[in-house]
Amino acid sequence: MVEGHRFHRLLAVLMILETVFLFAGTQLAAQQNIYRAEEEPQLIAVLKSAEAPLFEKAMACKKLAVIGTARAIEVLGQLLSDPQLSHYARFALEPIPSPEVDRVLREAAGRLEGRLLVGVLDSIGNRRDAEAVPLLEKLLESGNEEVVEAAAIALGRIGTPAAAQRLEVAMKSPQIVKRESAARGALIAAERLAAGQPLIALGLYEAIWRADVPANIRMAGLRGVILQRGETGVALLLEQLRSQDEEAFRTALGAAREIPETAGLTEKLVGLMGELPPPRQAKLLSVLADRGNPAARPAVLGALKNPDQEVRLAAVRALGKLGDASAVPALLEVASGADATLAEAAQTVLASLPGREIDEAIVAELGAGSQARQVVAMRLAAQRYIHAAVPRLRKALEAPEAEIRMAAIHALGYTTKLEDLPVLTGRLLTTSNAAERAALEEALRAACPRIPEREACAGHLVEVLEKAPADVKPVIMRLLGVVGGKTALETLVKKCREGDEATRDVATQVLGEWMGTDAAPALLELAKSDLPERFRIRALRGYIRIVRQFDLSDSERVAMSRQALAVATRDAERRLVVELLGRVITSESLELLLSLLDDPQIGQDAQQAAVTVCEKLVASQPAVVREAAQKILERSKDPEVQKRAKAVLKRAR
Amino acid sequence: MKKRLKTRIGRRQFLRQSLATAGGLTLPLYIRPSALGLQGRVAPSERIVVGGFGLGPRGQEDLRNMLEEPDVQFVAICDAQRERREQVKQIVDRKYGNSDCVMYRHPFELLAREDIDAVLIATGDRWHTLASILAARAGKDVYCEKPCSMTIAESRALAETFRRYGRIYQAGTQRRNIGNFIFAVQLVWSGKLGALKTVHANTLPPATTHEWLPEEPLPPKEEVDWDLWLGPAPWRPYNSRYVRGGWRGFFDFHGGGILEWGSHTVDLCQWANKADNTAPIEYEPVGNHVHALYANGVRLVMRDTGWLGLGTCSVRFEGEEGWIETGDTGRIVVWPESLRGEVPVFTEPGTAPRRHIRDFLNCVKTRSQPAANADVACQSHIACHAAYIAWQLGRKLRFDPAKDEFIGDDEANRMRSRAIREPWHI
Repeated sequence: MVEGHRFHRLLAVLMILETVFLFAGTQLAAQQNIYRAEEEPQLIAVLKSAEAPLFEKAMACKKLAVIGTARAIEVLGQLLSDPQLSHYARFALEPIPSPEVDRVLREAAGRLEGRLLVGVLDSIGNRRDAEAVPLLEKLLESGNEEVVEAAAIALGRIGTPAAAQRLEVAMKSPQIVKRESAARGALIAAERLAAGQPLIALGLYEAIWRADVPANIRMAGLRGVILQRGETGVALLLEQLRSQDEEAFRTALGAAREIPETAGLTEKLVGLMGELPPPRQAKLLSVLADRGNPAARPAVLGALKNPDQEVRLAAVRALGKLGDASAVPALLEVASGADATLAEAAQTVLASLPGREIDEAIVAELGAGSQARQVVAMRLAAQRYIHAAVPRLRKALEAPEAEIRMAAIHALGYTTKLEDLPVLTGRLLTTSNAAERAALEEALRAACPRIPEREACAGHLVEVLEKAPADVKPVIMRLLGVVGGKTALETLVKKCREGDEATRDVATQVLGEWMGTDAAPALLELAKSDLPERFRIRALRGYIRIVRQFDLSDSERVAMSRQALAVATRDAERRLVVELLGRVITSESLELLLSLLDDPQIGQDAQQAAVTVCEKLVASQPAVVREAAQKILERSKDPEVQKRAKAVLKRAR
Repeated sequence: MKKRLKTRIGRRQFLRQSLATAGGLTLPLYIRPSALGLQGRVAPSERIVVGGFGLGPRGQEDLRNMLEEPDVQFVAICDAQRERREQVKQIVDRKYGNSDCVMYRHPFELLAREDIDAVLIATGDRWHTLASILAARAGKDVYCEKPCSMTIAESRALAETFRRYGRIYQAGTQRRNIGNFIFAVQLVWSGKLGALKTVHANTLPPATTHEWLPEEPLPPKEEVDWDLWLGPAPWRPYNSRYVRGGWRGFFDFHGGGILEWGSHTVDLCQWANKADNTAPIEYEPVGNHVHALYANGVRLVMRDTGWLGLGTCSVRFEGEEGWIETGDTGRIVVWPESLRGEVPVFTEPGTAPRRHIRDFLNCVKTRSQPAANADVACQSHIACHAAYIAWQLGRKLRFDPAKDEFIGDDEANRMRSRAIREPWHI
């Protein structure tokens, strides 16, 4: 399962990289400022030329789409009947702001057939050419179904009362194709007319709703009728929410979210709840949530007690949008209840409801109610980082119930500030309970990196470290690693130098995993020191890790690699350095690798890394690569490296 | 009430021909629930029957996540390429332990199926708007990978169509359902960063090319239906690189680097700025970056460099009193230091679609609007397209979001739409 998750995360990353790679890999021609008005005569000449390649004609059309004038219309109009260029011609013609384009398109629609005609009709519709209405009306009678549909959609886009009237008539046609196409066009026309000619729009919507067309189109008509009727649409909305027709109900659910608030609408929707079966009640609760009127809140809270689980769940989710502080006790009751699905949903809602008032309501719940309720409230205090909960959480640390104490420790990890930190560290020093100690360690790991006063936090931990028993010291040292900063770093370095074997062991581990470049100088010094070998090696590996992973300039990386090579006593660490140098694509990195080509132990690794750098550097620094590749060829006996070196040498020449 | 008529997608003639000539493909227009092998899992009334369009690597990742949802039954795949059709069928059939996933070449074949409630679309960008609109018109809800449109006009048509037909649409931008991005936006809204001043969106280099790759012999239609693959895009000669995912970077197929990631990141900036119903009013190209300005005075910087390295698709929100930056790794950096204590740990990558898909499926049932619905996607895509137009023209543009219109620049206005290749229309 975990492996599968990792695999899919890896896959997701690879897909992102694929996008970037494919995109970056495309050889992109300069594409800015390609539209120049002065080029129009040449572009027109290209279109008229019998010899010009298709690509050039296509490009001419694309450019004319942006800079073309009335001068280009004639030749573009002629191309409308060319199967290869008709679309490109429309590409150019559609945006040209001249009535002459409309005339040319209408003229073409009169002579073209089939697919090319369909394209021209689309352009006529996009240009909303009202003069084309009679022509389009005629084409509604075409025997070609694609033409009929294109004509109807164009009429819809034109959207004048005249176009709408043609579509309304066509919706009564005995031919299903014509009826359906006209209804689709009428939906568009109704939108165009809704503001300026609301009665015509309403008439169209009603006609669509009643038409003998597929249900999804009729339902689009129904939505239009509900919304276009204004306040009087509410009655129809409620009627459809009661309808036995499932599609009408679903359509009404959508429309109920769009219809503007009118006096008493929320109350009417709430009142409808009692009439509906539970599955529909649940969906209506979702509508009330989306509408966001707080007047619905009491009904939603009441639904938390509904006998049907689906309704209760919908009510919980609805409170995610409608809930306020008054909903917290009821939600907390659900969140600590026996129904796991409901409890999880309620906890999610309580964790995400915005506002200080919610925080205050949750804090007020701490210290009262059942144990389960207490634990959930503390968990929420943690999830919401409610610092005001700390006094009550401290009190809960003394509770007789272990579960409450553990929950309080966990919550303190997410709510404590610097001044409260001694509560956790003090308890860590004194507790003898293993489970509690583990919880305290986890809480401190959560708390310490969150405290903004990093040095003060580290200072407190150093104080604790000095008085901590031996078995707690490693925990504190690891916390210093989590906190980071100057005080923590200096303390750990000191422990490396002065501590006993066990202390040095932990301190070098922590420094080896340090999250920043500030530890690099200290790690290098430790690697050179007289510490036992295993600690020196650990320090050097920590240093190499920083060079490899952290944000450094290429030149810094190479300089630090040089230092690491100078200190390294074993081939394993030298190999690590060579490997990282293979990822630094600079001449400095290459130079350092070349100096290692003859090394009896790591020479082969250096040859491989060097050829990798050459391959990536060749485009920008061919001269450097030429010389380097020659050296690699002379030294390497590996056929694969030789092959790659030859190839890169060829590119460098 | 049952549907009185079988939904006609248009082009009955096409359907008759394709059904008659489908050869090896079996094309049932309706599958009985009992044939779906799902009895006892989810009540039929709550089951969402899904079909797919053009599921390549990203689409197959979406599909795998969708197949994990107990209320989804995936029944059909449509693709212009045989190899892709078969890959998807194999994934689905292996999951269900049968051989029922039906393969189609033409969208109308799949859309004609009455049993399909929703479609997953992950074709190349050129097809996204058209396929979504065809699906909405056929009464299907849609989960569509980003970018959702190729032009400003397509963005608007998409939103209008989904409202018109009352269908549910979720853009596959997922980050509105990913914890670290939600946290970043909520931090802005909480006021803890002070008044919002500037939002930054991680984009890629904007350029695309108009070039054509060299012509190669056209493969058999059953292998690759080139005309169908092109769909609404302008015709050009076949080259196998396009159909193997190499279509990115070509103007006819791809909206450029601002849109590629801006559809994620500009979208998040719009959200943070509470600007989901509008778009910036000014766009100024600065090298490969575009600096934009909202009417409320907030600046939007679309840039491909200068990020803290918190992962792909990073965003940064700057207020008068602090800032937050985050990206696809889930890591968050905030300032001032006092805010560190409020930053949770997020591990879910920004590319994970699971929650976003669940959001979509919930909305299919409740008819609520999902996080990245068509209206939201429309506006954020318009912002990206407008920025790309400014970059192409190499000059500052002013824009009226209420009219989708550039102010005083005819050339820019003529770049808001592109004629669609016949016989398609939106």
